[in-house]
Amino acid sequence: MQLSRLILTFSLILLGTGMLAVSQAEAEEKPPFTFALADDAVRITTGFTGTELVVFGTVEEKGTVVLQLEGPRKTAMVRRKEPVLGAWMNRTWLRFDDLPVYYDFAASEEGQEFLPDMATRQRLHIGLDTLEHPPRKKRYDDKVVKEFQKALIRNKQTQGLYPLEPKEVTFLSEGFFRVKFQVPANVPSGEYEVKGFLIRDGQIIHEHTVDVHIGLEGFSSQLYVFSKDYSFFYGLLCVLLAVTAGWLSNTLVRRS
Amino acid sequence: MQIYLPIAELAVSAETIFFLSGFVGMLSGIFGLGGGFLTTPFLIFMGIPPAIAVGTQASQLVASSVAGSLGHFRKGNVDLKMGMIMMVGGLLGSFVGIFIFKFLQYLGQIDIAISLLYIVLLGGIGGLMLMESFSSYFFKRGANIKGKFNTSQMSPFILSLPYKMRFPRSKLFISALVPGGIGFIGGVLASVLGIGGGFLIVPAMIYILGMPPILVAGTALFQIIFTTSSATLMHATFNNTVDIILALILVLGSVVGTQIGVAFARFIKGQQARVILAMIILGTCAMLSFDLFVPPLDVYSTVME
Repeated sequence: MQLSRLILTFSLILLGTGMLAVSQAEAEEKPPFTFALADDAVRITTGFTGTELVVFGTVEEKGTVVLQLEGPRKTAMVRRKEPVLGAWMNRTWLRFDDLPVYYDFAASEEGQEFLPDMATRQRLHIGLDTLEHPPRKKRYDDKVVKEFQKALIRNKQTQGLYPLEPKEVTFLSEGFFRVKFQVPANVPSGEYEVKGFLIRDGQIIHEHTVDVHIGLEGFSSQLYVFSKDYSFFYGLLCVLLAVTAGWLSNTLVRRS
Repeated sequence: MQIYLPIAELAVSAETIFFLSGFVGMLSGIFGLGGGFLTTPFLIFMGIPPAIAVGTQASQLVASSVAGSLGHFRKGNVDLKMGMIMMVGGLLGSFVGIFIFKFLQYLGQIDIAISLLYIVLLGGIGGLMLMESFSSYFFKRGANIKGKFNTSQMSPFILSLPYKMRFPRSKLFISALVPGGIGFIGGVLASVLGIGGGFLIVPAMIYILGMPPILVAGTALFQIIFTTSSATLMHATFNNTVDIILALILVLGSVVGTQIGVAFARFIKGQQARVILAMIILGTCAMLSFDLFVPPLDVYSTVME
């Protein structure tokens, strides 16, 4: 009786320590800040009218969660219209390099206070204001350049490619969050990134990035690639199709 | 039904495009005009980038000119030799047109150039049509204009041009440079504006070449096949501005619309109908002018390169 109790106690302790060890190992493997996409790609098909890009993630530590959806970086050409004999013509222009074709972000906290210092933000492109960088060639004074920078972001916002306000980070339970990015129908295709930051006291504690492909799929994609890579033959196809259509319509009408 | 245009990279309502090209097709069925000069501005109003509207419209015109010239060809109303000479000029013109187009694109002025040219074009055609309708309404014209056409009335300048050629079908002996030059202008218009240019080529063939009127429409359509084909091919090759899905909807709409128009034409009184058409053309012109001359909502615009 005494002995069996002793064995039981001992084995319980053993089991307990064993479980502790396992749970410790689990804790070590479990990343403090991570997320994944509900779909690994956004597929633009012939019926595409925009979609939702859903991100699920977990966070184990305290801090503000910031998530960004960023498109490939390209050069933006900003033009300014001025009246010439009454008609509004493009007169002045500036080029800005290294701008994402698409940009959206979500934060689990409102306002700006939680954000790190400007240098860090500029490096990681956190926040719309970090996209106001100098033009390729500075041909006008600061005031004019500032106008162009503001216009660039305003234009992209009107096109629906830069956000008007941050998206929400919704916590479904303790440490488990969801973000819904609305991808519009006119989203430029390319290799996108979802970049995540966990920020505490103005410091970036953890970072995580997931790639996401936004591109034409199926028939649309084949047409697009064909039109770019074999543009001459694509043009020939367009002409042949049109000639056939014209010939068909003529013969059909004649018969009826 | 929203449909995604792979080259334009945007979604549009397929029915709207279909009805729009059907409507223009109907007008061309009633009045026997190409209609390219109406479809392109309509596409621009719908938010299709002007460059894509022009490139794609050219391909739609290939279909309608093939259909039209086949009909004339069966009746024997095409002067093939004249058409070939015009075609050579037309191909050259469409080539030059693409360079003008690319240069304007490089300057960042292509949108305004297209708008301005369309304003001049539509204002001119619409205004002339309206004037003609009114004048023939008020003063019933008795003079037969057909009497004027013969080679002896050609200006000395045209008669002095070299490379004279015989065109047996049209009974003309004229420098090849004249039909070539007319074709050239048609070619430039096809590449820059996405139109066949029939409204300009047809009067030129009647008044400058002095061709028999019965051959004019068929021969003009015959050469428009080549200028618009060449424009389509080059827009696709050098600009990537031909959207095949958009082209298909346009072709479908215009084929159906043209047939309805042809059937309708019998019941429509020419005089009033022409006034209505002139109004539509002038209205389109006014809308384009409004976009161009009224201060824009935002004077800045951004495109990614």
